[in-house]
Amino acid sequence: MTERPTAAEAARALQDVDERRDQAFSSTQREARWVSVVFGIVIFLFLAIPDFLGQEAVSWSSWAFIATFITYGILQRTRRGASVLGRPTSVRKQEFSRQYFRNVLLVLLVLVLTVALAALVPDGLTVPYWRTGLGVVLGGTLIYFGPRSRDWLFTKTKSGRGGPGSVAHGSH
Amino acid sequence: MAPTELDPVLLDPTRLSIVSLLAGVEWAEFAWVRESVGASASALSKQVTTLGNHGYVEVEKGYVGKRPRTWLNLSQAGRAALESHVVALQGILETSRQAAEARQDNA
Repeated sequence: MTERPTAAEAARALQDVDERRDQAFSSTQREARWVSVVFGIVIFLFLAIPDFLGQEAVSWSSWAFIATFITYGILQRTRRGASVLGRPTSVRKQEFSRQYFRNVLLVLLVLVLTVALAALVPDGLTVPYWRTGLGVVLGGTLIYFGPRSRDWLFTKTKSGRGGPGSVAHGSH
Repeated sequence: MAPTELDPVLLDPTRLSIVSLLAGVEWAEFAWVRESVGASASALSKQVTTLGNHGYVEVEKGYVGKRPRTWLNLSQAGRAALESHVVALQGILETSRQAAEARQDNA
């Protein structure tokens, strides 16, 4: 580009800025496959443990379950931890729309409530090993649909981005 | 720098791409930036050094296990420079649009 870009060059540069911002935002979709697999297995174990070890196992398995989520949260926020998880970037909070946070919160709430309810329901239901069955379904769903759900969240919220935080959204 | 002044450092398309990528993130791995920009490691390293010398990009080196990693992030000065540069580019487009409208009115 010359010292004083032409209008066409300026338009191309602005388009590039926007495309790079979108590219950076789309990096939220990247995470190692094993992370979904580990979470799927953790959910399966959490639900299946009371079927095999009794209701009293819920207390210590709950702590292990919570510890897994906290560890994941901490790893996500550090450069080295994110590298371990296969995340090459940490996207700025300002890049996410409110809709994105609402969707993530809703998905997490549904997951946590389902798991908590399943773990707390007392024994005596007529279907044997029903928690194990539910664990297979939920864990399997997370392993299979985990990466796809991130893609879905990304697609759903991509259009809601921009505004004051976005430098390239102007008159071009 | 005046708000509508073009930044000579960001007139280079590769440097503008790097800064635009980093504008959306808290930090990014060097390898991801290289892959996204489509530059070689040495070419990117050269541009990052230039941006670093101007205080636009900060570099952190470390290890994950035994593997060396380099992380890049945009400084406050870099973010301000990008915003200013974008405003200047938008100004060029706006001036061009007004000139075209004036020509149409005169015709």
